[in-house]
Amino acid sequence: MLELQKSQLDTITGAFYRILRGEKTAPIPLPSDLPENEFTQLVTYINRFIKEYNEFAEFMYSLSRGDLEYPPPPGKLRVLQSFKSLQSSLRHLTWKTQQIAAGDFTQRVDFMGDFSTAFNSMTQQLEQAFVDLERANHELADKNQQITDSIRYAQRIQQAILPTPEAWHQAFDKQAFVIYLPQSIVSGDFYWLAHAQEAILVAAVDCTGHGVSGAFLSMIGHTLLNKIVLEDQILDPAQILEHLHSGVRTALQQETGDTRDGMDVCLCRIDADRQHATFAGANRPLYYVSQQQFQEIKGDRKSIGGIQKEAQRTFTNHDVVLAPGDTLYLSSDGLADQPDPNGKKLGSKQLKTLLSEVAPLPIAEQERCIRAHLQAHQQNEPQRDDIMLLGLRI
Amino acid sequence: MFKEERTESMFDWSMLGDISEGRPNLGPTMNVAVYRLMQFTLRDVLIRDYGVEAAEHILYSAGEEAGRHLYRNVITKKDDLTEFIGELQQVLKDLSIGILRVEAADLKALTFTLTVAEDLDCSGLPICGEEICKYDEGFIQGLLSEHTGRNFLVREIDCWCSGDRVCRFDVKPAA
Repeated sequence: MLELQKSQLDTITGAFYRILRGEKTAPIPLPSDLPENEFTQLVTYINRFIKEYNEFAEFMYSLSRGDLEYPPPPGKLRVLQSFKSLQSSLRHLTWKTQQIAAGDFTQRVDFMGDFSTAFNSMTQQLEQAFVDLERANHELADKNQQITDSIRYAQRIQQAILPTPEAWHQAFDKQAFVIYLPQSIVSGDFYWLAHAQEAILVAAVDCTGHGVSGAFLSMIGHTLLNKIVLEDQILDPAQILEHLHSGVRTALQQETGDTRDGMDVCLCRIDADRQHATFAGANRPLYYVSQQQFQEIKGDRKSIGGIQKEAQRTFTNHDVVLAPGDTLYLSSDGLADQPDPNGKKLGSKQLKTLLSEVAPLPIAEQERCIRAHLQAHQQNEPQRDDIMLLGLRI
Repeated sequence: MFKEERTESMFDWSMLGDISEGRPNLGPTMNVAVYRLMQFTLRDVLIRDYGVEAAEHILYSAGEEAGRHLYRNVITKKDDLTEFIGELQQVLKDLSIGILRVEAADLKALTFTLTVAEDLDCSGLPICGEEICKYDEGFIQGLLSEHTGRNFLVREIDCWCSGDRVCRFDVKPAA
């Protein structure tokens, strides 16, 4: 008959007590001098159970944290095999999800109860959503192409209203340059040239906005300038701006409507003797370099079109005495407002410095230096606004 | 055709015959126990006549041959590995061979951990502490080798007979 001491049974009771309390339990010490009997055999099996249970607990803890790579411990406990199957299923689902994420929507999972149905349904919906998105993208690309084609055609029309290079060079004996860089395909900036009574009238016009809306306004501005100067023979720059202002307000029904669109204009009339010019500006200055001195004449702080609070909008003429070799610069605000990659604008101050530096150079060289300076400043930063700068040497 | 002496394979898919014509009433399926009856009696005789090692080699080789012919005659998605595995899962399910799942796959290194649940050969067999699915090992080698043009070492690391709930195969390219 096997006789046991009370303390021997207590060690077994203590071990299971700790397991049931959720504590990690060490194997029961088995002194080497114990005889080989049923108790020794029992403790050996209990210790094997404790070892497998501890390993299983670690495995489960890792699995509960989402660690699917934790190697399952050896053992044949039925509960261990079940959780091994669960880990296997989760790893399989991970792989399936990775394939679907890579675009293979043919992947399905089977025999995982309601989860299979939900997962496969989600995959099918994802595939449908992907197909819908692809179709929408194609439609969007087609629409975008149609719109772009349309705007490109509009660009041809807008370019047709600008002075031709021949007319431009003929007017200034090839001593003029144009830097004209639309922000998008069509531009809200335009420049205009007219001959009347042997005088030359030239304007740099910056319409509200850019792109298509700006281009629409530019067509109105161009048409009105031609009518005022060529049909009505109004040649006084301040009066031209006043008529242009009235015309824009009428065209856009700004007396009654709520549109505030308009344009800023730098307008010069160069007299036939080439010794005098008259400048009028609507929110734009005239820069010029005479006798190697940089000069700026500010325009009136009023725009063409938009809200008018005063009874009548008037503009101011400024007379400029010219000498051979003087250079006039007419511009929109796009060049000074162009930021560099750090967001810092070129600024009016730097532009004026640049113009005073390049003014002594031949006109073609001036253009090259200004373009190079803009490129060095802008680098890969997208263009913010339409850019226009006209340089005229007397 | 079936009884010629041979030194290399003469198996052809047509040897499976026209089952719809031959079994108009009983159809193409049968009881799994009958399949196992054939496999395990055959295994029994092979071991008795040739020993365990030779018997397992024969079963592995037969599985490999079956995998290659299944690939050639049933699989359609042969350009992309993941698409092939996806179709293979469907084929094994449709043919009631087993539920193939991918636990892990490195498509560049061509290493895989695959499981087959409800395996035709072993699921539900008595637990004896042995991995017995040699035919499956060869079957997987045949399929993958046919697709990739490379040979693989396929080793069963868990089996229903060793106490697991699925058969698990470790697959890596042969050296």
